[in-house]
Amino acid sequence: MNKVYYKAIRIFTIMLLTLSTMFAQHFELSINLPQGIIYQNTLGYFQGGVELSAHYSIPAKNFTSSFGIDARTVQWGSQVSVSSRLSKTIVKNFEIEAELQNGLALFNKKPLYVYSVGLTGRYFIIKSEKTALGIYVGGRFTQCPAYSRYGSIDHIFEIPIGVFISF
Amino acid sequence: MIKPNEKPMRSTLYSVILTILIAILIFSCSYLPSDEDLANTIIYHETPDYISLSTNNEQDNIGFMFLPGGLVDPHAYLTLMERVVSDSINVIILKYSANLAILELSKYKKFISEFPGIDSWYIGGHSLGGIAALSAVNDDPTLFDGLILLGSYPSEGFAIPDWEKQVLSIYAENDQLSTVEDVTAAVSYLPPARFISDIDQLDTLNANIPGTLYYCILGGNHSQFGDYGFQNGDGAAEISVEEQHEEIHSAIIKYIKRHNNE
Repeated sequence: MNKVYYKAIRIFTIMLLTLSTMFAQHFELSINLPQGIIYQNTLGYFQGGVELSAHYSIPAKNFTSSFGIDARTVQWGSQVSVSSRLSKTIVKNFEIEAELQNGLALFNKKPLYVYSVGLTGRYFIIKSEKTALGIYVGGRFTQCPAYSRYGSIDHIFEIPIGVFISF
Repeated sequence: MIKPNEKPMRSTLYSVILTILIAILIFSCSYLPSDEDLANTIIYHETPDYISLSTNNEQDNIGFMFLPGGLVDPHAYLTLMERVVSDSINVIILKYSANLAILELSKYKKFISEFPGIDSWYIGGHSLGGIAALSAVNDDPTLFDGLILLGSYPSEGFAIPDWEKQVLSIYAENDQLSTVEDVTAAVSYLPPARFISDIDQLDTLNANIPGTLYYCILGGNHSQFGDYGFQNGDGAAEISVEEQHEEIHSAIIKYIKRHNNE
């Protein structure tokens, strides 16, 4: 397996272990089905695949930051990203979250850089001090710039629709 | 705050997540194509669901729907399909989430209506894509006029021994992922077998008799059914990618054309 992957896994492990000893935090798992609506500046619906995410969230006074990892199937195959999110409660049980992902499209011997930026609205169906369950929907732009050497579609805009659970 | 007795549970959870992540990393890497430009005479159109290749001739009414091999980028078949298109056959290469055709077995149905000018459809696939093509024929036996398998063979669950049309199965001597033994051991899952040693024999056989025509590419391997470098576990090829593609192209064209001429 590529050295880059080992390095990414090591960084993620160190990050998890460090954070788990430093702050009050929640662990969040989510699954979403991104619904594609634009590809390469062309309007058109398509299934965006499936995405699984695992995140640590660290509440602060006015906002919550979180860090984690996302694995998904996508236009160009599969990809894994390290992501950071920043969320702020707008009204009771509803918050807005901004997200930045940096990762790799998983190609044998030649992984390609990918990034995503997105904004989602998150609604808490259940919210207690220790656990939470909710749904989210938003918009997200994803690009794999180097994939343009192989195919005609290297960027997409999707509507991620998902559920999350934190504990 | 985390209670002390919660820590072992969380450690276990992290281990499980990391294990899943590593498994995803290992098993979901796709093969990229070699980057070659297409000929100017070919009309190329790509959507999130398929790549269509055609010439500018509106009278081309034959369509070949091609399903890529597992974990192989669909663009890795462009150089082969470019040859097929130049013989007036429209090619539609389906694209799949995670590059695994087996995850969306009914996808072939969705796009046929987008090509109203095509009145004769053939389906085929490489490796795992061949299995998905067999599934399509199983589900819709009358939709396709023929099936073309490249380095692929059915298991019992995808068997079509009673299909009343002809199958073309092209396999390669040095293929170590779909070996000659694998292909020949599965003959009972396809219509009656007939092995041919020369592509020109296709010209003399009756296209309307159900059966499976087996053609072996001497010196070929699994990876060279596409154009994506060497696939792990495959055997070494003794012929070039171009030579293997030319044999596949000749066999496909003879198979499809004689069906439509009779």
